[in-house]
Amino acid sequence: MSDRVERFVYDDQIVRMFLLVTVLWGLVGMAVGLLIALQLVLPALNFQTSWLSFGRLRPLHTNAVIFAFAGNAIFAGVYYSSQRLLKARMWSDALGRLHFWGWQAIIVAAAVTLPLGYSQSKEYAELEWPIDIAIAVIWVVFAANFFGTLARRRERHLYVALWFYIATLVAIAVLHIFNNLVVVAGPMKSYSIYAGVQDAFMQWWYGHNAVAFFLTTPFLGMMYYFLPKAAERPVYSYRLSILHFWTLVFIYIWAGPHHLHYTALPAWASTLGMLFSVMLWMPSWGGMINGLLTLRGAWSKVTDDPVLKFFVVAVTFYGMSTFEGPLMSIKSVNALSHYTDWTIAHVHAGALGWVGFMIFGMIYWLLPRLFQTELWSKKLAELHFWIGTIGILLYIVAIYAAGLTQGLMFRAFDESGRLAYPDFVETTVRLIPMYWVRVLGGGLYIAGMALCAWNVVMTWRRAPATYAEPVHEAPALTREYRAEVMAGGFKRAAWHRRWEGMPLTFSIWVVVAVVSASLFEIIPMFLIRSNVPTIAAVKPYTPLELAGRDVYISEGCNNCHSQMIRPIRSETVRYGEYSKPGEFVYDHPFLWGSRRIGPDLQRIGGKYPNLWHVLHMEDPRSTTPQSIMPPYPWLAKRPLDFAAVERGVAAQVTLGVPYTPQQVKGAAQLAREQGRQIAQAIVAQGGPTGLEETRLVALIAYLQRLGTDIRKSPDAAGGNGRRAEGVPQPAGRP
Amino acid sequence: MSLTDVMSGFGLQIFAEAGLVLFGAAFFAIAVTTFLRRNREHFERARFLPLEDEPGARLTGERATHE
Repeated sequence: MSDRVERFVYDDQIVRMFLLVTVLWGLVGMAVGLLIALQLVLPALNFQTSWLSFGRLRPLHTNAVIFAFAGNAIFAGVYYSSQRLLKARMWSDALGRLHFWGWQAIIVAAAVTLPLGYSQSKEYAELEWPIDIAIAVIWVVFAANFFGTLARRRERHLYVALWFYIATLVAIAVLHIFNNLVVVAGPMKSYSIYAGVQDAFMQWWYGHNAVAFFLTTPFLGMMYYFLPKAAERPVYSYRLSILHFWTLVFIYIWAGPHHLHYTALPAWASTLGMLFSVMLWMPSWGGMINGLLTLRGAWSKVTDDPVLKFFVVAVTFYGMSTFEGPLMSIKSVNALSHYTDWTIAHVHAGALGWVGFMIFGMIYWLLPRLFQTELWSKKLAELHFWIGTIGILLYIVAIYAAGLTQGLMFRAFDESGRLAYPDFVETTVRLIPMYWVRVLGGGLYIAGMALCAWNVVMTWRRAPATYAEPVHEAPALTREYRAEVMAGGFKRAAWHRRWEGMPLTFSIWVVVAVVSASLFEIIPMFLIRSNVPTIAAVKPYTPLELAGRDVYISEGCNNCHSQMIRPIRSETVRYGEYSKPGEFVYDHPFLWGSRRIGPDLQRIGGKYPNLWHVLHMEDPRSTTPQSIMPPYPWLAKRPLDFAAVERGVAAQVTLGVPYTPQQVKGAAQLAREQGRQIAQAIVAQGGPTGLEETRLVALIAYLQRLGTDIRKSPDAAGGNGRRAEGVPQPAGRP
Repeated sequence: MSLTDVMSGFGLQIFAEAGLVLFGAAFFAIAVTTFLRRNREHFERARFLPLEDEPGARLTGERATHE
């Protein structure tokens, strides 16, 4: 360390900016959540309007609360705590502003494009390719600013919170890039380069680790900084925090396949995901215990301090969620919980309890410091805490009950061996009272959010006209330290604490841990042929069916319907033959879904006449009186874009789907011809005329094709089998 | 012969299990290093880093710890 003392000030303006938009986007994202919760009990609230329908708004809700509300909160927390832990102003004010405005522009782009139906369909990665590129660029800007600050720091040791931030930065970059590799098929259209089983694997590698590295590690970093600050106590055990960090980084990355138990994913991957998920319990509870024990000797403060109240409940929910997650990853438990509201309850216990309350605690702690005045109303903050807590409890208790109810109804058989609830809608109607309680709980939580926003605005209004900028002092670091490390750190078995002083080395090891753990699963998944036994009868979609698939994606049908029948008796009796890995080799992207608000559609092909689909889309309650599905009247009115059909087929060829040159060149004509045939059949069945070139006909073509290939002989199926050279194998149980 | 053929021939079914063993070893090494007595002073100082800009925090904060 140098004798030269340097003077510096922190950039708190960037923290104020991120904090204010956190509150703004929190209100927006949660309001959309409340609307879609209401749509499930009052389908009329879809307003027969495409951009207000459940399937399009559900990804807007998830993206807004994850990337706008939680994302901006992360940036606020990272910018505030990093400067202080490193004793350095952020490397570049300009990069900070670019990061801020770039991220807000991305959020606005998402808020516009998702309701308009531009979607990749993959959960939490729905945004189309131009926005994905913007996210990557802005993330690099953030990383450059963060690592630049690390490089010019005045504190040699990197505090554990910074490790969690580093893990977030590198892991999210890796996950985002590899899950969003696509072939472009238009200005706002793309297809995943992966298909079927592999795409599902990549998506849930991403999806689970988005939870890990966007909703967990940065908030753990913030917990390790803001909880000691609020409690005025150091963290209970620094050593435990080191174990917490490395075990999370090592283990989390493997756990994704537990989202795909009993699907067409190979069993070895599924079992591996379960094993690592159960192992995750240990580090997660280590972190929770470390957080709660930090309050040793300070519990008396909790009664009087809303900040600590929020933190205590947040850490408690972290413990609950990280116990429940491993429990749900156990295959036999997952067989019940998967596709039900149990997953929704689990997610919201973590999101509302852990993430939300960590954010609120941080906001209330930061407000007086950032705006250099007292919090406008401590009582309002207390009220926020209590109605927020009650809101969470109402929400999750109701939705846990809904999940268990529906899961048990799905699998119930009567004494004669038949399904006790053969009509799917029976299982949905039973949940409506619980959905109303969710609306109440969610409404309370949002009311708390509104109180927070009011408190923020009023505190902001009392801020001084010009903020004081305290000047801090610290000696500069010298470069001698690195030589000292290289001289013998390993021999003294003190290598880990040497890493902690060397950000580049430390970051590289984090990257090694994340990437190598990923590759241990990804390489066998992609390169072992036996993972996807092929089926000769499975052929590419026709151009019109492909276009219909795009409509299915655009409308977000996969948010309510699965296309994956598990090899479980109650499912095969209800839906038909279980799904085989080889059935999805042309599915770019996969559309297995994760929740059954409506029934599985894997074997819907040929189940109903075309006219039934016309009526069902026009008004679902005309065919299923108790249905809660939104109506889709616009599908019969909007023309299909045949130029996009041609681009889509060409893009599929790039991905290796074996269309012939004639099929590519004549894609539009082939689509028109098939559309005309379907429209004629609809008229013959007594339906309306003039549907032949509409989006509705394309969707019907796709739905009528679903799951039908395996009923055909390879020769009868027509088209070109991609893997015709492979020996047709009976697809075994996953 | 494609890369898939080559990799399938290697029998990489045990690849994941090998990864599990490697990461178990890495975890063990970190755990041992972390709890070595000689690192105690270093970690004790690190615990207080967030509180260093709070006047008097080191005096009022909990000092006698299990660390």
